[in-house]
Amino acid sequence: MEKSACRILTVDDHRLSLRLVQQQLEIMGFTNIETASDGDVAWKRLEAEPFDIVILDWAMPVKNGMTFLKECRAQRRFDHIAMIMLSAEMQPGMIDEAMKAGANAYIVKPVTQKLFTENMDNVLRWIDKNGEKAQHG
Amino acid sequence: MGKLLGDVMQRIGEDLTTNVSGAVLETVETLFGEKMYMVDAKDRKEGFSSLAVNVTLTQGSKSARLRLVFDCSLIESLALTVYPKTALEDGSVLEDAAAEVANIICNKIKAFINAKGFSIEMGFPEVDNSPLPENPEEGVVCLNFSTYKNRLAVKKILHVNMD
Repeated sequence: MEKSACRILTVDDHRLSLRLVQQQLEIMGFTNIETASDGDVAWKRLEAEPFDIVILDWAMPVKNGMTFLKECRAQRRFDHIAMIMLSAEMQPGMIDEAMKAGANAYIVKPVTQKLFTENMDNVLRWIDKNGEKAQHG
Repeated sequence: MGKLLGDVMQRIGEDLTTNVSGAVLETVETLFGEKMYMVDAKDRKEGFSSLAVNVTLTQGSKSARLRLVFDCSLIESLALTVYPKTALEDGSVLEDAAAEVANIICNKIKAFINAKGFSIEMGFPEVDNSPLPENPEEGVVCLNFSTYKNRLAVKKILHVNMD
């Protein structure tokens, strides 16, 4: 998938993190970036608009990232969306929980541009592979 | 209530001090994108304004507090890496930035403590500049941060309730 065509939703209750991620995405060449301040707002956006990637924080008020992730993965209509956890939470058990819940990647904050790019490139490959599978059945 | 910090300091106090310094340095270096050097807190310049962020740690019925106090100039420098200068006229921008930096640092501290056998949960960071009470009921660890050029000073102050 072309980065310029990729639609990304970033979800975090801290504006600083939303700005940092936006900057890191723009450096990579992504241009369609939307934001949400918590899981509830993000859910409403996801239901209303098409996205290819969601990058979400874990600890947020109203609806946290893990709840959002599990709810998304419980619905087949969102199977094509890559979910990336980007969180300061770094305990191994919590990371395992997110991956088992269906996260495509788990990135611990703060993240360097190099590591962020590697993870995003992996996710783009997953999207392409997923797209091929959906096409060929 | 109140003995959590005492328990933690008794079991892993020295290691924790080293870990805190490392966590802070790594966080600031990554967010600023440049190499920083830790210096003795007495090297910091005087007469700064600051932002304080409180984070509550709990284990069962016990609790402790981390209080991170940042020089405003440190948070401003960080915010300017992603915001235009005019955005800083909104005080909530700096408060949000301080809260997120505190969130990252405290999660590293929490992970370190839990790897040593504790089961600590962490609350949301809250900006609160009101002074600490003289004898806080819960144990409090204050970390005061300041920077000058590429030097980072962290001053650690402990209030441990051993009752």
